[in-house]
Amino acid sequence: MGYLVRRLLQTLPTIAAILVVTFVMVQLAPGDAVDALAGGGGDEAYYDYLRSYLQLDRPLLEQFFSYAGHLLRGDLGISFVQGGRPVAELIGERMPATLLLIGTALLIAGAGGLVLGSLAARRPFGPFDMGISTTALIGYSLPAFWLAQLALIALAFRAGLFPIQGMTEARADYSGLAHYLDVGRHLVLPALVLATSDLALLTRVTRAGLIQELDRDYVRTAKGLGLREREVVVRHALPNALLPVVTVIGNRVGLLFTVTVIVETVFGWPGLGTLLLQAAQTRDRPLLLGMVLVVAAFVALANLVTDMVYGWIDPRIRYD
Amino acid sequence: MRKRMTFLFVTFLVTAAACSSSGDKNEEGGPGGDEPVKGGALVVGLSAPLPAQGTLNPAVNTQGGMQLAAGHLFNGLVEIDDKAKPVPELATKWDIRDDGRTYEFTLVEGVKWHDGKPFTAADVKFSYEAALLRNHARTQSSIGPALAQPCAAPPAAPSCPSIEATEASGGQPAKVVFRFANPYAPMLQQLTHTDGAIIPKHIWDGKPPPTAATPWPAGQNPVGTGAFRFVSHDASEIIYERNPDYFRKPLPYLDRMVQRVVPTPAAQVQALTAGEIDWLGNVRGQDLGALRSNPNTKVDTGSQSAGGSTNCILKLAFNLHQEGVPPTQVRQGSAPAHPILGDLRVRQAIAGSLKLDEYVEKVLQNDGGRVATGPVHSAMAWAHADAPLPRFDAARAGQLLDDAGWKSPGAGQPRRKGAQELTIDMYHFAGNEAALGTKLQQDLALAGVKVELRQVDGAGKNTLYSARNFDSIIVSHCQATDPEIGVRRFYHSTAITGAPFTNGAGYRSTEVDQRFDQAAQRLGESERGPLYKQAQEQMAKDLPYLWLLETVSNRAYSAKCQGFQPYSGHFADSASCRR
Repeated sequence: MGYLVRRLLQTLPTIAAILVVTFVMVQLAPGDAVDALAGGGGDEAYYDYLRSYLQLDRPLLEQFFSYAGHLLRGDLGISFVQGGRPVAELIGERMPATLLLIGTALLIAGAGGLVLGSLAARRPFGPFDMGISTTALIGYSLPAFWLAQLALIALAFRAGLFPIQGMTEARADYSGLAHYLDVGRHLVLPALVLATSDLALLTRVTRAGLIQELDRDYVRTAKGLGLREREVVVRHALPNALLPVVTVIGNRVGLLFTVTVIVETVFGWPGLGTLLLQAAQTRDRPLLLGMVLVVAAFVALANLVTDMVYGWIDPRIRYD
Repeated sequence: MRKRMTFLFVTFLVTAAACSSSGDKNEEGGPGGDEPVKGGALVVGLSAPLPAQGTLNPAVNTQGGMQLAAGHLFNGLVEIDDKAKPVPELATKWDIRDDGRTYEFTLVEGVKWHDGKPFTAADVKFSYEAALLRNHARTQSSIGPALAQPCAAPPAAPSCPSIEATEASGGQPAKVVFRFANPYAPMLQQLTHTDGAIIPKHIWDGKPPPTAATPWPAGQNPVGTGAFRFVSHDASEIIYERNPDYFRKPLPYLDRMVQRVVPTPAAQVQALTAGEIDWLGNVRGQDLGALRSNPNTKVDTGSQSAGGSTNCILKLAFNLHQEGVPPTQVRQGSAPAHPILGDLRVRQAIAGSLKLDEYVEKVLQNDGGRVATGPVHSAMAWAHADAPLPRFDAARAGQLLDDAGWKSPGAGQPRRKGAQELTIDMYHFAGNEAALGTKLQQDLALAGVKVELRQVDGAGKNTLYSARNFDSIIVSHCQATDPEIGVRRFYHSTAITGAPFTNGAGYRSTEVDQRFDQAAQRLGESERGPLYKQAQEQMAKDLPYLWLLETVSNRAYSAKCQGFQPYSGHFADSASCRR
């Protein structure tokens, strides 16, 4: 418990540093929210008026401390550009869609990687392993933006297997089970695309770890004792091979948030990705900072959970 | 260093957003031969980011995406038809008196707001004094200064003594009067729902007036008089339903409309072809062929974008003065000339180096746009002059540069004047503008002018433009339907301000100023037209800008649907779909 609190406290300076850097980056970009908000052709007085309305005419340090002060009170502020709506509300509206997408992708990559990696490790360099390993290498190398467009054209547009855009069918107004099925149908393709690279990586990591473990003495002993191969792999070798897998999953959460921006844009998935782009383009500083904060917190949390899982998988690891 | 960092960040943003294309695209269409079918839903594909909940107020904001989404909810006093003629909307008729100094509008009777409250003359007055003349960038800078008495500026309470509202009484309909200091000719062209949306006063009773940052009081859904009512808004779509009380009976025919974001142009076309969406407002040239030859889809081309931008010209603005000199100094005439572009011969040489014949195909991908032949859009035929612009002539361009002191060190190399190289930067958006920049860069390289292309996003471009931090910048200049509204602000010397999309070149010509001022004091097209033509001839000699391409707006829709009004943001009012 003490460890948990200490770890959480350690993440605070990191998040603060990220916020300062983001704040400065938005400031360095030419233009501000007023340029995005007001459009062209007005007179100077109008732009000045809007700038003072949004308090963008105040000294920068004052703006920063004002923001930081609100943040410390748990207030993410009001969006400059999105009709004066609270940032927390805007993020809350988009978060479920992104979490659903990332969660599903992690599930596909985690479960799929374990199964495929284990199967490949049974006969290293056999035909099955060669097939899986080569496919994984290709899958890992494919850039998400390209794969996403390709999947869209081939599987959704040409073959008609999946819907092309969005999270739901625009013409229908489903509820209950029909709604979940509708979302599920729309989820398959973006989740698969988002998972591809991680699925490939996890397959390879699982395979490599397992091959190493299967060569160890305890495995030979277990086999010698007459245990069946499946039992040896699943009960004894796999848990030991899991540590690097968990590390990889933990480290990839941050990257997934990045890739999801592209996947959400290509598939019209109404998550944080498109909102992030919009916030950056309109210099909507409170919204951008809010999203950076939330994503940073998620990544920190993912790292923490990774460490906790270590302790659970490997009884030798103890935190105190 | 700072400039480089800034540039890197902008490049990052732009690259990340490369899918959001710019440019405006729309032909006749009109109602098809069949009787309209009542009922059903229309799914509209939006390319811009979905406007946020609470921003749908076209009286305080001019963003194209928001205008496209909000247009269906609101009406102006007057709408513009496909020939740019004013037609009644919330005003049934208008009376122009005192040689165009007084406009009296008679309002439709029995109109109800979406919340059931009656529409009044006070709503019109409120819309102008509290919203349009304070917050709408175009309207406040055009109608505002022309009124007989100025409106109160914020933060003072809204008040416009030159606008009078008389409510209906004793069988007389409600009326609204606008009084101007001088004859004001373009008034009827500025009253549509995009430039003059009427909003309900009662929503703001006892509350601060709307602004671009807070278009509606917290938690308030949009309320208008338009053909459709707002139902809901979430992260992926805005849903509208038929307004059964709409004053233009029997419109609308559709029961429901869904506007949904489809972020990438490729997916937009795929979604339309596959029938997931029914209407698309901004189709790229390269997709037109497939959509036209597909029996399930149709294409309309017109000069107005669904967001309300009309008669747009893609042009290249030259900075005639030293980079970064404040606008006030330029306006007063004390700014040093631009070391390269301040020389007319260089500008003429640049104009004469462009193989404009190739631009429609290579830049616009044959999307229906054409090469511009003058500063004023050719759709305003009464004011447009086929100005004598320099034609492609490599030899003459080379001679002009030689005369200006820019000597060629060898073929294919940038020219030099002493130690200085003939290099200019050129800022542009993604999409059509990026293609135009690349073509300009190629053409100018042959003439020995090196162009450094820099892609920026909206906020970045506005700032560079206002701060005059550029050598050259590509702008899509949408002129609306009267030169007084959309042309003057790029050329008149008093329009050298720090505001985006005004006279960014820093062009000062007494001749041009006089012609615009004279035209603004007169009423008839036959009197004003020749003055604008004279001004254009002078501009074509001075070349503060290069007028390159007249762009169009292409809208594609499902063949099951018909009755779209391609010239109007109210495109769904008379639409119907057969399923």
